[in-house]
Amino acid sequence: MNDADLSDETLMGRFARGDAGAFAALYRRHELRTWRYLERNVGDRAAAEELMQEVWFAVAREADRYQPTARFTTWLFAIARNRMVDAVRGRRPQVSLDEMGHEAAPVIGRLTADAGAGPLAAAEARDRAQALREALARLPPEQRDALLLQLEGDLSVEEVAAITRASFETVKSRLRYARTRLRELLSEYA
Amino acid sequence: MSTVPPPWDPSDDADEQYRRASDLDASRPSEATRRAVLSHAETLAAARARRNGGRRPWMSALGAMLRWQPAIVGTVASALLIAVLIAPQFLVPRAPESSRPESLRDVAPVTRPATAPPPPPVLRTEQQEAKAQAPAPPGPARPSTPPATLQRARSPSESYSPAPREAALNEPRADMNAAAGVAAGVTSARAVQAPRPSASRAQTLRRAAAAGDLAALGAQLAEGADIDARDEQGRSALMLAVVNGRVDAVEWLLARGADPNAADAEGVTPLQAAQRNGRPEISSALRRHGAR
Repeated sequence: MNDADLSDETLMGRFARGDAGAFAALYRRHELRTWRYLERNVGDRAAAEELMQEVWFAVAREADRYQPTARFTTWLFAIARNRMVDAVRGRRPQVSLDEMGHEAAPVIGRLTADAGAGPLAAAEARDRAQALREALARLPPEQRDALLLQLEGDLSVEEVAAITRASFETVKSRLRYARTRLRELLSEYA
Repeated sequence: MSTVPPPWDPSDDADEQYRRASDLDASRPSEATRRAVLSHAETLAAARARRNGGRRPWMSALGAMLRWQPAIVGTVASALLIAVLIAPQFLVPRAPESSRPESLRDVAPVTRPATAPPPPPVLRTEQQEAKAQAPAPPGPARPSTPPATLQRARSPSESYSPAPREAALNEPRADMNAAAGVAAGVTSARAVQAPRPSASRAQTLRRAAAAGDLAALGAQLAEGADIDARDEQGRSALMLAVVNGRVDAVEWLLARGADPNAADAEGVTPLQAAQRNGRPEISSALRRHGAR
């Protein structure tokens, strides 16, 4: 059976027994989602790179102790969020969630559009991606965090509530406000 | 094939709009980050593979045995100790007193070496002790019931915590009586014939000190107990008398040359212990005898 056909939990089990290929498969599968969650929350590429390493180092290190009692993605995004909160709380105050709430500076220059799509398509794609970033940056941090956990982590409201240590109703409310605001902001762009 | 993104539809659901825009975002972690993560994982995987993969069944069995080695050794050692201490009691036939030659009467059983440690107190109840110490009757019959005062199993421990006074007083006395060869008015042939090791005498001395039993202290000292012998926590008889607030015992021991500065294993001196317990009269007694 190909690694791509195996569940996350099975891959983690294989890695824990010494199969580096299983980890590589796991990383490829979740790299982009983890990256987007981190980068769109912290709004800073360098900080996101550092967090990305920390998160996946932790995943590799903790594989021995990983118990598949919950979905791997729930565990992964819990680690990602904890690392991000640690960064916010003191180790790297420059990436404070509060600071980059509504007025975060646009992140320009890191959107490299499909080179084969031509200059017009590339510019269009860059603009839209940028619009999304700006819209997310204008959401209150808790709403943005909850929304990204759900959309990138593919987590349920209950899982988001558990990870963020908020009540189910609070998370539901944050998600509703976040979606309403995001829709408005993206409509402005359109 | 058109590579131009589809037109933006403001009426789309927020999630859908997010997905469309997100798909256009080409931002990725750097190659350096990817390499660092995968390289770290490979290192860990190699270590785990070495730890898990190279094992053969016999190696696992050996590993399991080594893991259990302390338990195995402990069990075997305990069994041997019990065998050495207990088995002779049952294996060597005892001839009735009357049938033994006169020259062998009042001689300790030869199977118990003089240097062997005494049996652990918990392994021997007072009832058994009394049976062993009861005087040999004229005939083969022995008393069926021991004295009522010797029913309780002996406790091996000495404690800082003040036990109920009655228990604290009874316990050393029972030991003292047995050690001195006087148990409820009967002569203990064993105690007389086979002198108890000094460790046991010292233990009894400490118990007597903890209980403030001057008579028992005198008996033990007369029997040759080391007045400054320590227990496993480094506590001398004087220290136990101090921590249990036995002023008389403290004075008595100091008067007979107990070391007033004998610190315990933690370095606490009797004077410090008395000060901690708020016993100025004991502190001054200690100071009078040179405690620092």
